[in-house]
Amino acid sequence: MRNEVHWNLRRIFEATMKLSVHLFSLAALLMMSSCCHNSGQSWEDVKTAGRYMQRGVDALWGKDYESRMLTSDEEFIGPYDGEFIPLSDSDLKGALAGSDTAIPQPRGIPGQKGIPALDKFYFPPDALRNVFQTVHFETDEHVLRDKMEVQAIAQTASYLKKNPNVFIIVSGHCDERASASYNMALGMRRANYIRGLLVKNGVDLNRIYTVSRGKEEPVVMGHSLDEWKLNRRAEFKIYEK
Amino acid sequence: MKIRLLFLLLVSCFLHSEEIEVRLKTAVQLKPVYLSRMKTEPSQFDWRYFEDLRSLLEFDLSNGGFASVPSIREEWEQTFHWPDVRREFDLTVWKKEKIPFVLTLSVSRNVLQLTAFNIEKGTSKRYAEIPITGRSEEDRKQIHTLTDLLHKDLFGVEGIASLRLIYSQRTKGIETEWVSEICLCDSDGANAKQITAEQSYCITPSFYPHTAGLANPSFFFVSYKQGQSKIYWGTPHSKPEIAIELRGSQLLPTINGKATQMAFISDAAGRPDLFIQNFDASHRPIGKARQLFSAPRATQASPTFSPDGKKVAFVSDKDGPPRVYLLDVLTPKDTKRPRPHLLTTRNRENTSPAWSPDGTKLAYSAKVDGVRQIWLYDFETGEETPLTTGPENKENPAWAPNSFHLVYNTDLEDSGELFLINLNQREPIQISKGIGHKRFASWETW
Repeated sequence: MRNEVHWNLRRIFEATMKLSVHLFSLAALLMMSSCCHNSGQSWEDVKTAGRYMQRGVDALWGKDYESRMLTSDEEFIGPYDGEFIPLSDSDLKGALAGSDTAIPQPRGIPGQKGIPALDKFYFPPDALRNVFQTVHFETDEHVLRDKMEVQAIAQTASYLKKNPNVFIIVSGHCDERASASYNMALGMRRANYIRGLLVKNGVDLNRIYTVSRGKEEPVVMGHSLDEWKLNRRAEFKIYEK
Repeated sequence: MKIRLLFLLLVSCFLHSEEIEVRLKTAVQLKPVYLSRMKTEPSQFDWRYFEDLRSLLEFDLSNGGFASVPSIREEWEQTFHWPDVRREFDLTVWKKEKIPFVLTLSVSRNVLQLTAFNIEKGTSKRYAEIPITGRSEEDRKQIHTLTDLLHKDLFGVEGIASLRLIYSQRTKGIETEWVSEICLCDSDGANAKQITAEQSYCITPSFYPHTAGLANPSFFFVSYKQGQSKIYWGTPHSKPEIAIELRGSQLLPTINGKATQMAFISDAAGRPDLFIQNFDASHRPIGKARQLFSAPRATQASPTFSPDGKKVAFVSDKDGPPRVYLLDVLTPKDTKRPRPHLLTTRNRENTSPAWSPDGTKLAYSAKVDGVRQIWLYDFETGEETPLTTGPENKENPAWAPNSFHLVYNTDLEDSGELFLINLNQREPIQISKGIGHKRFASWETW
């Protein structure tokens, strides 16, 4: 019995080592394919290789980050009460909920049935500035790294839970460095991440709308690291019924 | 041992990091086409008006990608015998000068006449007379159409001079808020006019397919007039209607060649995912939108259909910096499990892909040495090559229907201009004028 366990452990160890070598080879090939890049791009290459390797390791434990197409007529018909036909991929719904929960958008249409029109929302008054703090992101990222800012979102959530008549819009913004089209999508990502944090903190998801402004509305004009950081942000508008 | 070798290999990659630039070969040599001075008779219009029309013809020819137009030479002009230039046309002069094509222009009683001489074949052709109206927009349109006819006759390829461009123009509004409206212009940037009056933020317009020549071409675009970005469709100066009713925001729409499916980015499910919606012939959605691709912790952007509509290329940062991936647009009955295939590997920040109508190339914007340039991916060879150079950021390439011309926009702090470029002539021509940030141009199609 003991020998069997030992043998199995050895097989797992060998398989892991083989995979590591393959992954390392993959990373090396990736590097070779990009050997014509300048040194400024090398760090990006390393990061890319790192993410590939992480995915390979995750694949060992059965995690699969890829989504997939629908697989049957039944899935095509989808939920009758839904507005769209979702991908039926468990990875997208639960496996990574800890870091990236997808929270569907509110069902209600703004401006109808007691839901405020989005053009009625306004920037928080001075008295609420501390409650609705603008938060900032690292380059090309959509998660908050600063613990103080994560706490600020918790504070926002706390206020919203105590004030159920307050609706908010989270707008996602980017700095000037990527293209306008990509930044539109990245701003959408950032706004939805903040929305997800608020919902995880107990706020009713139907009171939080999102909008992306890409890089169209910088708060500061300039080309320094500090100015870019100020522009990579999510900010809030509110409406109290 | 293996690991050591690989490590050395990795280190050598870092040490060997020079930029290699590969230029596409010029497929066709430019052929000289001599365009005569405009022979005019006394007219109700100023002679400068006719000169402008001649300049337009020269511009269209010069930027068609197949012709170079030499400057006017007096000794050559003296060989023409007006009014009937065909009667005593001297082929030997042109053969000696190695000019394969000669075009003569004249205006008599407000009618423009163009005659083309093919020196190699020893033939000539008189084109249909063009009545000059004095209305610039109309007359310019006639010249563009004439150039396209010439292109087809001289080089055997369709010209794109008569096609229009649609784009968005961002300006400061009355109350200092930025506004962005949809505009239309000729292929040379002239006759630019605003066609929406949303007083909102309208971006990423595209024509529906096969609108060339229509007075009121249908188009779709994204507008923020409801607070969130939504996809609308309309015709010039009509009230736009919402094209897709879906919760959340929708962005970056593109349509397939038959106008039966639209791909776009939406956060309806909580992430910027790739969606697809079926449409009928009157631009009305059929059934529900379908989530086509999503990935945790990733941003999807800028879909573009293959010409047959069976694949879609899009941007995703699911494995690192944004790059272009390919995905099969399967019917819902397909049971196999497709995965996006990474397409662009040479550069690490690739955005705004555009599939050429002939299916052979993908144009996209890639950051190289800190500057976004337009690059081409060749589906036949798998090679990626730069199309543009220079210090300005360039993005949003859009193919003309001949798969030979592209338009793109620059992206500066307070301005953006449209540039025309083709695969034979790598010197881009700025075609937009005036204030504002002109962006997201796309062509109408035949």
